[in-house]
Amino acid sequence: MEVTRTKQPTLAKRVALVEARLATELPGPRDQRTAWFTQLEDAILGLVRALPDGGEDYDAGRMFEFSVGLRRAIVAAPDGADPDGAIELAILMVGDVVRRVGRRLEHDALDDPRAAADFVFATLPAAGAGDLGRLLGVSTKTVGAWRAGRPVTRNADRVVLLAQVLTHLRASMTPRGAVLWFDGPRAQLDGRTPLELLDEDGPAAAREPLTALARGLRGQLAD
Amino acid sequence: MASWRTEPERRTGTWSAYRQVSSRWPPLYHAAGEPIPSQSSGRWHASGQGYAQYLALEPLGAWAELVRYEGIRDAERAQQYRRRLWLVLVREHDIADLSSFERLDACGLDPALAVGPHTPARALADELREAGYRGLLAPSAALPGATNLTLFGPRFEKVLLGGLAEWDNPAPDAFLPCSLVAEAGPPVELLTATRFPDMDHEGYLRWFATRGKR
Repeated sequence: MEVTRTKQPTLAKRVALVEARLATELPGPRDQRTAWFTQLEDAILGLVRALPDGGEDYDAGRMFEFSVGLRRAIVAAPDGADPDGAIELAILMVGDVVRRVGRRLEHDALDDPRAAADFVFATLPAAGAGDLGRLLGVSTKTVGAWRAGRPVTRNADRVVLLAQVLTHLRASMTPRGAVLWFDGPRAQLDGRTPLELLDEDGPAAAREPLTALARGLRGQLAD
Repeated sequence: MASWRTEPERRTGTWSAYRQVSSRWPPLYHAAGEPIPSQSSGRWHASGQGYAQYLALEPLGAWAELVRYEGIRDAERAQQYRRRLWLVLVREHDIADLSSFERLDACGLDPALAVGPHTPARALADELREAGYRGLLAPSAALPGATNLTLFGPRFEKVLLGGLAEWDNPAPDAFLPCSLVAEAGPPVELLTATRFPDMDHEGYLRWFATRGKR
């Protein structure tokens, strides 16, 4: 099978295909289970072949490792059963790796400042040019030019960082909330707001603390 | 040698607990195959050093953790959040019962561990793990009167529509049954009830006044 190794849309589709296979309910009868696993295995192979480093990719190795565990669990289980939960656990573990690959692809795509700017505009569709200018660190005129598709040559690191932080925020709040998030004083930043950190320290220094802060939104922590 | 004078009581039991999570992620924290654990630091673990499941025994306790972590101090911000609140049925053993300031004190531990800086709390968590505890109950720093249940290590969710107590868990060390409660944001009442890191904790102060020492 011919595989394009570098095109992100192809990779993203392959990630989605593996996720779709994992979401399909495992049938009961042994022969149908084998067919189910073969389809999953094919989808994983297609994804791994499409990765830039192929089978050398760290997560590709983990996907193979966990899918071997899944196959063994399926072989060991009686018809229609999963008595020790090993099949379900292996499916969730493969899913963890596949989602991680998907997130990595998303972030890699946003390393392109033009793509990052488009992502920011799409994620904050109702934000005014004033708010976008504050977040991106450019004038409202430049915001207009970028919205019109002009090349993103200024503040590229900040645009990329902003887009990547928004990938963490968007599933926890409205677009308005994401704009407000940058103006909220944070104990983790010694009382500064994320925007103040960006403005005062610059994107290189702000990358780690801002990303950590946004990633903390994944799930409840005891603070 | 552990820092406690008396070993914390080891509880075995069943707890209904709550956890709020981004809609993009599963209810519990697992990330199989990661080279370095990616979970953000919390009171009872440091990022890069394993995983912990942070739960609250009260729904408001779960929301208060969000309010405190995010520094949400006004209604407009609170109303912008969209989180999934999950009910998690925890059947566990070897849970350290440090659920009150009195219990911390009775073990010879500083009750401020539950509400103060994270570094000494993480050191205590390391000692608990080393002593074979699977988690701990502790007062919530975010909401006086609420109790947090933290489990050490990853857990995987079994998402059910209901009947959590009836589900026959095939691997209790790995799975916890969960059910979606709501997709919402924190109640605005918590804007005043939540204790932020720059505030006193009434529960701790009350204990302190009773004990008469500082």
